[in-house]
Amino acid sequence: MLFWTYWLLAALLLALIARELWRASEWRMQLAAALVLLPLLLRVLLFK
Amino acid sequence: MKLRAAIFAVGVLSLAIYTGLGFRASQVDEPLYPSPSLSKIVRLSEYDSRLRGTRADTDVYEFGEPDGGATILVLGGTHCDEPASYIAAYLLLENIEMERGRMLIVPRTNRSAMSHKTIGEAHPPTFDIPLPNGVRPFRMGSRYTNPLDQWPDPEVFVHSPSGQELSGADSRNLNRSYPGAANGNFTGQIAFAITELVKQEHVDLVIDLHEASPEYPVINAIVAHERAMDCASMAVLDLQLEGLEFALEPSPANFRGLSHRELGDHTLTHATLMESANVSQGRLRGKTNADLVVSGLDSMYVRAAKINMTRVPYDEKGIPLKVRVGRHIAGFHKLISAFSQLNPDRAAAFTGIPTYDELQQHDLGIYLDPHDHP
Ligand SMILES: [Zn+2]
Repeated sequence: MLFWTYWLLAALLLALIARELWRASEWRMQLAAALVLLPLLLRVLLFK
Repeated sequence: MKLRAAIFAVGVLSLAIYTGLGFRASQVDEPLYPSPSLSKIVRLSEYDSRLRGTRADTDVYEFGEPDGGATILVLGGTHCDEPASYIAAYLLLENIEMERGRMLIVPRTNRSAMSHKTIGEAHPPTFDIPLPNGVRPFRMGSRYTNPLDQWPDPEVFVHSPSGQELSGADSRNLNRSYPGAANGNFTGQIAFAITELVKQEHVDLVIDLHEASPEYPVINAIVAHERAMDCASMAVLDLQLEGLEFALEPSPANFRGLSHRELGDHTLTHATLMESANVSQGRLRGKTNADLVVSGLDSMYVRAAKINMTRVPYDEKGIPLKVRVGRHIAGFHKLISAFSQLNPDRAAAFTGIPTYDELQQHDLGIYLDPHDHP
């Protein structure tokens, strides 16, 4: 139960940061967003 | 701008898939080749059906038949960053021939912990043991259950039923979770299944194999529950007579959740645990790689030993994996012969397992060669 709550939080954060990647205009911001996406993606896909 | 975002997104996705496949690969069990004395393989979920289909459901190898002799349980890979623990269990299950009694071997007791590595430890995904022709790779895992199976950790882990409080991460430490509970967390369910196995199979003697860092106080030791004290002290005396320095440690009565304490208290078994010294777990180690796991040689520990910072003798020879596995195998021999002398009506006997000296002469690969098992 708590597991899936945390999974949902990770998925939500993933969506918000993906939106940020799409909206940001500066390349540094986009790169930072892309780097933060990676661990979130791995957890949401249950790889790690 | 959007194009750049798209390129970054594709980059992240490819990286996730690439690293994800690596993580998936570490979840595939390496093949084991049980000796012809194998009578059957059952799954741990036979003892707690909630484990069925999970990453923790693991093989229990059974050798010999119920013939009145002792039933012995060997636990390897409770902590999967302690390679001598599971390599010793692999060696036993690939070589043992039972003559009397039953041997149950669980080589990957916390199989979930074998499916990932602890963040920040820089442990290698695999290490190679040389064979007469070639090498055989083995995985390295973690001390803890995979967070994919149990997440998040609580702030404080409250052990059941004692109420003992430990750090949150220890909620994923199998050897703080015994006796486990039917309605406990995932790691507690693994502990519960092992406790049930010990009860249902009427296990007489449990040998739980571990390693610890050279600065840890309980090391090169056999830890024993009160009921197992006679057996363990006889074994330690025997080992010392053969020149192998072992300490005898009574299982602390107020340190809960450990196999030797809880299996001893909650079942009728003789519960013991063995520790060898592994520098690749140590806090003082330098560069961490597959070579360190196998050679057990670290220059920082050579310096540490010179200023008495280690609890075991340590020099330029290191403490290689074959010495650590050899110590576990030697302890295994002595614990079983001591148990058999003390309980002649329930004696166990076996062949096929090298002595400590034979193992040092011939190397591990001779006993772990898959080509010997057509
Ligand atoms: Zn351990």
